[in-house]
Amino acid sequence: MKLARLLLLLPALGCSGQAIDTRPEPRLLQAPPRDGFEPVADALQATCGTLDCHGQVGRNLRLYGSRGLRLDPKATSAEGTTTAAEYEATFWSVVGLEPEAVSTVVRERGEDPTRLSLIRKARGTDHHKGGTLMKSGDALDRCLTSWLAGTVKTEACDAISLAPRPMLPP
Amino acid sequence: MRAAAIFSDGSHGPQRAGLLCSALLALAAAGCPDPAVDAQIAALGPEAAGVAVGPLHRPNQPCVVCHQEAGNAAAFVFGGTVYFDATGSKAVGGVEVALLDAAGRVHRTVTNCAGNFFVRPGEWQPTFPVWATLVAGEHSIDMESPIYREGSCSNCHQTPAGPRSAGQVFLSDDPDMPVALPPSNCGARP
Repeated sequence: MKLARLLLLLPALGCSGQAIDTRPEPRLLQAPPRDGFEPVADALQATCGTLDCHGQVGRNLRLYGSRGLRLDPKATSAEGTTTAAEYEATFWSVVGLEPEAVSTVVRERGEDPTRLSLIRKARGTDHHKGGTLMKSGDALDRCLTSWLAGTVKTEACDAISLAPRPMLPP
Repeated sequence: MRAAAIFSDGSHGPQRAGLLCSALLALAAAGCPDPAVDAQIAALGPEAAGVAVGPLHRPNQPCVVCHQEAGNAAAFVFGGTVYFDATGSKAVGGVEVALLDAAGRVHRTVTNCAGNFFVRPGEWQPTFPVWATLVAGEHSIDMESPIYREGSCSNCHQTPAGPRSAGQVFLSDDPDMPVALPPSNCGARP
């Protein structure tokens, strides 16, 4: 019996002279759009990416930016602007946090983004040391969920990253 | 009750049980040590020679490492050191540190001779994020980004500035605009 099985296998192995690739076909995961991600990254940097939160290398979600964690070892968190490489690194950090879940949400055009811990933690529905950073429908929420749905609501993102600094009362 | 049964040997059993219970309660009240915090405290090294443990000690070290519930000193909400400029070693006393929280409340304190300041939980419990401003007379300088959770300034403001640090907290960023240093009251509690 063993010999029969081997004989059945031999033509597949030997006739063409090529080895069979028995690896499973890789699944293609879908990511949110990389084009237009910069406003999203800027909003994330302002609310989540400070040095005391996700602007740290020890975080699963690692965010880079000019006033947080820098990618270039020669850069500092005190000067400069966010670089193209830092935007790229932040993009893949966010997408890579839960890639399969992100792919599912993106495939379904942003339907039920609470399948992502990124959304649940920021909304405060999952335990999050940083607390509640957004509520469903507010500017940061619309910024992130619109990106997941495929078209970034830039004005929502800018409302976060370009918000004026609160001033001390006189 | 079970302890009394283990040690019960007549007249001495209940007394031993009482001592055991008291010891266990004392241990519980003391709390269990946190090895991670202990390691962070040890990494800060010894006190500087000639500087007593107190408000003037350990400038620009992460205050809340020790000054937290799991640490070995009275808890702080915030603690830090202010220097005159971004790269020098001159700490500045008498600088007002104004902290504005997300609820619109302001807490103000003043740096001491070592440039140190601190905020105790009994003085202020902020709603994060918190924005910080330094004021010296007519001059003020704002922190560009808010504080979301860290109590030790120097955890983010390490010297020198780098890819993970904004550099030390400083009062003046314009060498052409000298800032009149505020009068300081050395030895007084901030």
